[in-house]
Amino acid sequence: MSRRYLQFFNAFKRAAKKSRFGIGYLGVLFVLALTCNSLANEWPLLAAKNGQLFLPAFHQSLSDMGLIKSVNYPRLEFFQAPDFRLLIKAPIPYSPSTMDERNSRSVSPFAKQDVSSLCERHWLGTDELGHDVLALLIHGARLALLVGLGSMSIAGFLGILLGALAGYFGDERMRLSRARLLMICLAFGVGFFFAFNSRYFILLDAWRDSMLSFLLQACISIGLFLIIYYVFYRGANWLEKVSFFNKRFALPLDALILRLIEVLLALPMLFLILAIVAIAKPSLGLVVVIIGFTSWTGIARLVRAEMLRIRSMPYMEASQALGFSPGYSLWRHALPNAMGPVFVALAFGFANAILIESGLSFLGLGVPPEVLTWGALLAEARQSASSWWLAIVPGLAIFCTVMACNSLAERFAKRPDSSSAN
Amino acid sequence: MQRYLLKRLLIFFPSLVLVTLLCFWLAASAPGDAAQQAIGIGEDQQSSNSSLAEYLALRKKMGLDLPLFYFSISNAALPDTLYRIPDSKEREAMERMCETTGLPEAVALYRHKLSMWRSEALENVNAAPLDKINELALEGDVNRSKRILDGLAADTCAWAKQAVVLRALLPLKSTQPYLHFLPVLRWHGLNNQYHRWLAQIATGDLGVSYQDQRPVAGLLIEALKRTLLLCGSALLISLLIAVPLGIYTAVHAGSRIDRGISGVLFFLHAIPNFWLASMLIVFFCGGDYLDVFPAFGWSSLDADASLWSRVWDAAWHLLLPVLCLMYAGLAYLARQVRGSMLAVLPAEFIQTARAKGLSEHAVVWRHAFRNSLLPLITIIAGMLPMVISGSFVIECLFSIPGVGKLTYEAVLARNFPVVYGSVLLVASFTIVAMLLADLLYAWADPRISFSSQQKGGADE
Repeated sequence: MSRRYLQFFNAFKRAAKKSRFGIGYLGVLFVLALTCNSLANEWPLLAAKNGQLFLPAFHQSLSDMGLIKSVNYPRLEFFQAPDFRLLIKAPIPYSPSTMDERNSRSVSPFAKQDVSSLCERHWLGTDELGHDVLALLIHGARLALLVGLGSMSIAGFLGILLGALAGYFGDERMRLSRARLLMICLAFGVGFFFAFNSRYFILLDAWRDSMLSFLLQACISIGLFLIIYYVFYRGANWLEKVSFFNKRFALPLDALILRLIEVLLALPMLFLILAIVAIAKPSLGLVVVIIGFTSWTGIARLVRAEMLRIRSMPYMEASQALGFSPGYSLWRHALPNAMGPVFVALAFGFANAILIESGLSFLGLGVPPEVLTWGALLAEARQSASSWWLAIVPGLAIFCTVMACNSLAERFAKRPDSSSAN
Repeated sequence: MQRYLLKRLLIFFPSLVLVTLLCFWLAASAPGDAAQQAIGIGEDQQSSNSSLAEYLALRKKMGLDLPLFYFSISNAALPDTLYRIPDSKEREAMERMCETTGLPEAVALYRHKLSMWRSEALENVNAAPLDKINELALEGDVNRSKRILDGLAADTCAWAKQAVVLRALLPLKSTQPYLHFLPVLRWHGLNNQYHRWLAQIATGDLGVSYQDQRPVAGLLIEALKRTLLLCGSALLISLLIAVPLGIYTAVHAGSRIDRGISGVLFFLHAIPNFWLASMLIVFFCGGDYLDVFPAFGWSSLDADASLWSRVWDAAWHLLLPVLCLMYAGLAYLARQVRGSMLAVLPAEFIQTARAKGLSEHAVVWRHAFRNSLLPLITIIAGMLPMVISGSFVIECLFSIPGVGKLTYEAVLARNFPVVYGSVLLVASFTIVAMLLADLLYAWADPRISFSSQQKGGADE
């Protein structure tokens, strides 16, 4: 990482200092997301019996991830026996899937609860089936952050790449030889064919088999694509020796990317998601990917606008005069100075992604019913109108997350312009 | 101006074509097809020969046996008439067999014999094992197919001979395994499904709803009217509140009132509208708490009630939905107005206006606001997709029979013509609105049409 990117983190620290609420809330959310399995779990954290030590919660989360198989592991009832020498329970002894039969049918947080000790109290009440709302809330934090981070990494990558290309090269600066354009087009066609079309059934079988094998096969395909692309790219050098192919022209990169953005902007995102959700199997990953692929336009436009400003700065001219390649100047000098608006857009996008996802799960679309996100929890409140805690708690969680992201973005946008100091 | 208009229109059509392509592609990859829905059979195997024949005839009539697009790019191992197989799982099995063996003709012959055997089985259940044949039809692996056929051939039944014949047709050895590495471009001509679909849409025909067999276009137009009324009134109200609010906060920038209003707006912007809506329904629409507003529907009065009472009733029904729909837009708009006013207020012509001795009111409204008005046009056009998407959830919650609710119910019922019709309609509506906004912008700001560098206000 260049030191210029570090400068961006300093600016981030300054913004964080000004928005204590934003950074504090998001920090708590991150901690909750990382530790939710040890915070709210029906399996005890640590248990000792007859000289044997168990880590049931840890074991359970590993086997949930598919890393180990729990065939001979003791069942949950085993740990509920009273004769343990050491038994440390999670602070909230309920998993999101635990159904407390004694406290089912929506028990209010203030009502008298049928629990044996204060540790087992449902601090935020239960829902219709006896799920602990606090446990659902804590595990929902992980899902919410996954949605935000996942979709924003896709949107950030696409938006920064396309926005920087559009803004930096504009309509005139990307000068290509005919050979180069031809070869790039060919490389995309041929690369796509060999990497994805010819391997279609290999990829399909891997997808049906498991996520891990699919990722492996996808990596092989992408590697193959890159190799083919590289070969064609080198081939262009050779083809350029022919005078017809050596003729250069300006690729209107800016216009092309702007048109793409315009088309995407015209599509109401929710309707697009619906159109895809209608035919696909519900999955959280799919929703994240769709949100990512449709929300990069705002980031791209911001980066583009910032690039238009930066490219006329004296330091960019200096970098050009020193003979650095456009790619190097872009990565080393232009992009670090455009990071501020990107961060602002990413933070707004993060909040928006969580909003869209919870809206979808609220309506019961796109996300499978067993994935209990905040929106799904909120949807339960629709069925039982009198249990106000089911509506207030997840709603407040969503609202505060959105507020925190927005306030962080807002503070960051107001930072003193550091680019003039360089 | 004319050149700009032309340029803008030239950009407009590719967007529209892209939207139709997207909708068509999604509709084509939906499970089941219109012919199946029309005669009411599921995605699974057909039950009898007559219904199969009826289904195939209907498919032909609806043009579903045509290629999807003008051309297709595939590998040489796949036969060029693959699209004629109606069932997607069977198509996949055949593709798989072709790719692994590289013998499309042999596979086609095998599958042809298999389908003949199936029609025999459908006619007389005792003549052939129907479940085994169906299993074979979905089996793409040659060796596994052979194993099934081996088992059938070993039976001491009438069909053993048939199984032996079929087994002999199975292309076991792959003589051209390289074939699926050869790309092939196939040209299908104008007689394809997309072309037909587009021609149909051009005449305003969006297909028939699977549920009640009503034309989709009629359903959508009816729903769009309500959605437009809902969104339009929400947008109008938020504009009416946001503009004075934005101007006031900009003029008094930095004061305590400005900070207070900005804080409240910031707060409003973060409230999820579906949350607020469900809270309002819980607390104000019957239930255990207050019963002030009607929770559901559009209007509860009949057509013979007087016009005024009908309007009043509709407004009463719409009050909460419009409130839920407008506050986020209101916060966003007020902030934009404030921002663009703040950009204009320090300008020299404002100082001049003040120096001339104009009243503060005239300076703010006639000089500053009129100049900050331009970006608002694009901002409002840009808000359209947001408002329409927002209305989706609100319509579902308040049971307003608009486009959003129609689409939601269609998605749940897997009523694909309605889903894709509404996506197409909403997207093209938004594109047209954005085009109009751009033209309006160009008309209002003469600088746009003369400059060749900037391509309209939407770029900023």
